[in-house]
Amino acid sequence: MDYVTVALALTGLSFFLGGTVGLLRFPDVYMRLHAMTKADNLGLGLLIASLALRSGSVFVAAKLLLIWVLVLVASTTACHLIARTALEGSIEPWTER
Amino acid sequence: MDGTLSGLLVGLDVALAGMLVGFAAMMLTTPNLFKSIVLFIVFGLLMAITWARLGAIDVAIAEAAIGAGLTGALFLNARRDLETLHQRRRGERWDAAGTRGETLPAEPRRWGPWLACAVATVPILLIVAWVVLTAPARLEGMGPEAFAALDDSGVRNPVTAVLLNFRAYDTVLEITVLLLAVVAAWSQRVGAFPKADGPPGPVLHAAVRLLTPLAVLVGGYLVWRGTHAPGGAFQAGAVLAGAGVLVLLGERWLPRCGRGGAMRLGLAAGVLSFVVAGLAGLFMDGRFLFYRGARAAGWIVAIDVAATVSIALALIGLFASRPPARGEDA
Repeated sequence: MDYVTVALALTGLSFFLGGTVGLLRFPDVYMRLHAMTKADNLGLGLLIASLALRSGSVFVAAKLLLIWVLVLVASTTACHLIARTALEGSIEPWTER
Repeated sequence: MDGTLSGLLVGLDVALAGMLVGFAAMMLTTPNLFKSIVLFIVFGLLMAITWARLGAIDVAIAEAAIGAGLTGALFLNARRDLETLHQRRRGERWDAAGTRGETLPAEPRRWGPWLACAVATVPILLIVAWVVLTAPARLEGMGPEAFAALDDSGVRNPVTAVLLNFRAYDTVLEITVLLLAVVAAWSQRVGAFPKADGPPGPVLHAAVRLLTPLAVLVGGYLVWRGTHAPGGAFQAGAVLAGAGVLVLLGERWLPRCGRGGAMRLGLAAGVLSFVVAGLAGLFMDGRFLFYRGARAAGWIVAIDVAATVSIALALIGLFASRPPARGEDA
């Protein structure tokens, strides 16, 4: 069981790393939003799964799951609002190859 | 295995301390206001983690909610108002120069203020370092007395016992200061809360509808939990204030406040409940704000709930930065 949780946590951290690399390297705000929202939320989900398995209590696992769902809602809303504001502020998507 | 773990923890603590100093330095030296606000929010998050590492969970929750969350929102508000002012005066957007492709001429870095600050703070740093290094390893302070009197205080969480019972004077004054801050902020401007430029989107509405009842639930839970575990009025008030900020930003369900009588009563409720409890203690025990034993739990819960409402309304009022407009949505 320990191996499973550690593997889950390490995979989650690697997703966080990928999201941060995307944040730093992508040329466009829309792509950076992709990296931040998708990769980071998935990484958080894996971390929460690992912590929930380690916690050993159903209540704690349920609370952790609730935290993940709330972060999903909050980050999705924030991503949508940022993208809308960027679009209205006439930031054109990057279209070069 | 244990040695590696404690080594990792030491490494984590050193990294945290370094990041705190680094982020503070970045926040103070970047010329972009928005960037420094974002750095401030991240700094608040790091502070919350530091408090958690030091074992002060109540402070960590309060720091994350108020320091990182709400103060960040207040700063962004202020920045938007500055931008509006700039636009009104100069007739163009704040960052218009940037989007036109120009860069503002770089100001020559002035070393005078930095030197003055260094001269002022280095002696303080040395004194603090000397005190920390020569202090006894474990400072008990009033801890043993507080824990001994815990049973008599009416709650099982020592932090809440100190905040709302043993040192209730401090909390009364804190809440009064918060109320005065709202009064001062509200006296600065009147009129309706500024609306967003375009129609608000469906995503924000859905998020507000989902999160507001949940925030009320979490706030109530935090207040109740404060009696026996980390939690309490400030944290719950901050969570409720976050929900209120969301409602204000969502704009669709702006509460009709009329002349704001209910809101003003709610703002005063915290201080009022303390005064009532204090006078009751004066009449029953001969000392202002003194309650012990079986009665204490009731008073503390009442004060806790009233203070939560007060703090939430005060923080929402600070975010709105204007009193409820008469007769309109506020």
